[in-house]
Amino acid sequence: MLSPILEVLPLSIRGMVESLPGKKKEHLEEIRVRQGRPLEVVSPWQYGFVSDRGRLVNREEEAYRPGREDCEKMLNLISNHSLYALEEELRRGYVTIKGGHRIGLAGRVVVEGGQVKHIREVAGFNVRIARQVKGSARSLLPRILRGSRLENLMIVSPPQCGKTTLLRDLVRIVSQGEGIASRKVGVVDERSEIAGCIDGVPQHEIGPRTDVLDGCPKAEGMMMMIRSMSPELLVVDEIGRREDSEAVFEAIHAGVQLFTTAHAKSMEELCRRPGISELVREGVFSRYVLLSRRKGPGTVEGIYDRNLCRITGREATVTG
Amino acid sequence: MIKLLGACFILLSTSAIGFHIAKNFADRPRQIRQIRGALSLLQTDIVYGSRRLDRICEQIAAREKDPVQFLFARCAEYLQHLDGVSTFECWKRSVDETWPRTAMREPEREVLTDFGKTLGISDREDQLAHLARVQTSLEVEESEAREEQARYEKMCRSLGVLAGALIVILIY
Repeated sequence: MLSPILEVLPLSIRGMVESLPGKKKEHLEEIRVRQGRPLEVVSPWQYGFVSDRGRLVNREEEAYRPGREDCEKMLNLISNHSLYALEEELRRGYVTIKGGHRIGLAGRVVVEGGQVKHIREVAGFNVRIARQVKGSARSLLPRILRGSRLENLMIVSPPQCGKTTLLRDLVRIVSQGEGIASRKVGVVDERSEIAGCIDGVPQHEIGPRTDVLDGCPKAEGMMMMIRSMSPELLVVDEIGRREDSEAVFEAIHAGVQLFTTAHAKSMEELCRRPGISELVREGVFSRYVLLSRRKGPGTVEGIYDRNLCRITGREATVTG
Repeated sequence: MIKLLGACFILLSTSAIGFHIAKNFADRPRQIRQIRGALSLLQTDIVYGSRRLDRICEQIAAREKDPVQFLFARCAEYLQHLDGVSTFECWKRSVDETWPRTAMREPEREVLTDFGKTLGISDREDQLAHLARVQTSLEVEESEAREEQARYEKMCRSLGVLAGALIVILIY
């Protein structure tokens, strides 16, 4: 599973990551390469630095420090020697690679007319390892069905709590019709996270009846989907801006069900977000699922209904 | 009889040398033209297709004839298989390996090697600017090569034959 990731690491670092203990490798969440600073790996419960012999160490001084050459090689491997083909990705600050994994980029940003044009001298990479946890959303299914109808669902959590993983699995379940009637699903994947597309082809398993608009702005994408692909379920990731909520209203009134996610630590925080509070007040969503990392990513903290009343208590279902 | 045979032999070999040098004069502008054609393909693919460099090189190699084919095939191979070596390194190696097979000279080689330093590592606009610069430099070289061809090609051929004839006359 790690092979597409190893392919983009420069030889020196690749060796170190490969010789990490098997268990650590299995649970890797992030590999962080920063020029001149220690090589870091992050797993769900801890972080650590990697020494040049590929051992995990806690002390910074013992860790391997990637140099300028490492970073240049890594960029070469990520871009396949073709930086010009990554213009859009450099503007957004991340690249999706084979397997749906994502690499965030940091460095000197070039701005033109107040807008980010691209990143020059990339000196920081965050390799985020995407995991598809099939079946992670199965236990949620009874809560989001009303008769044969799907509820409009919003998954709420801070970053890195398994929001997207859960959403992805929901997409797969609905599209495959696993335990429910199968539906046509339209995914607007602005940040290539849900489907992890390369050249328009999804890298994750998202079901046979799923259409993906990759890299498309959410608000516009939702309308495009409804007009052109006639989905029964529309899926978007991380709404929050005002134009997003307008598009959500449009979609809901076009008779399409909607699954989406939003960043917030608690329901109170969610209601305070300007773009979203209106949606909550209007009762657009009939189910909210709150996630945390309390017992590992994907811990369901609670499921709420339209009026933000909790339906279930603090369930300790680890879903992913 | 043997004398006659020897004379023929001398005449043939000097003519062959003359023709060979003449062919180099004729090949050089043709090959520069060929490289320029390949580079304009490269430009189209970078600017409008924005495809991966190794794929572009492969495709150019499939369309062109030797020695340009060899240059791009090598480059594609290096880009794919030399783990994370800089683009310039891959390009330079391919140019170095291709050179003995060509009739081109040092100035073109410098232009091409220099071009490798910028290949692939910047955005589209920048790539376009560099490609345009290479094209102009190569154009200058090409016209020079053509002039040389006009001046020396025929001369080399006749010089070969005449030199042979001279030697034959002198030793006959």
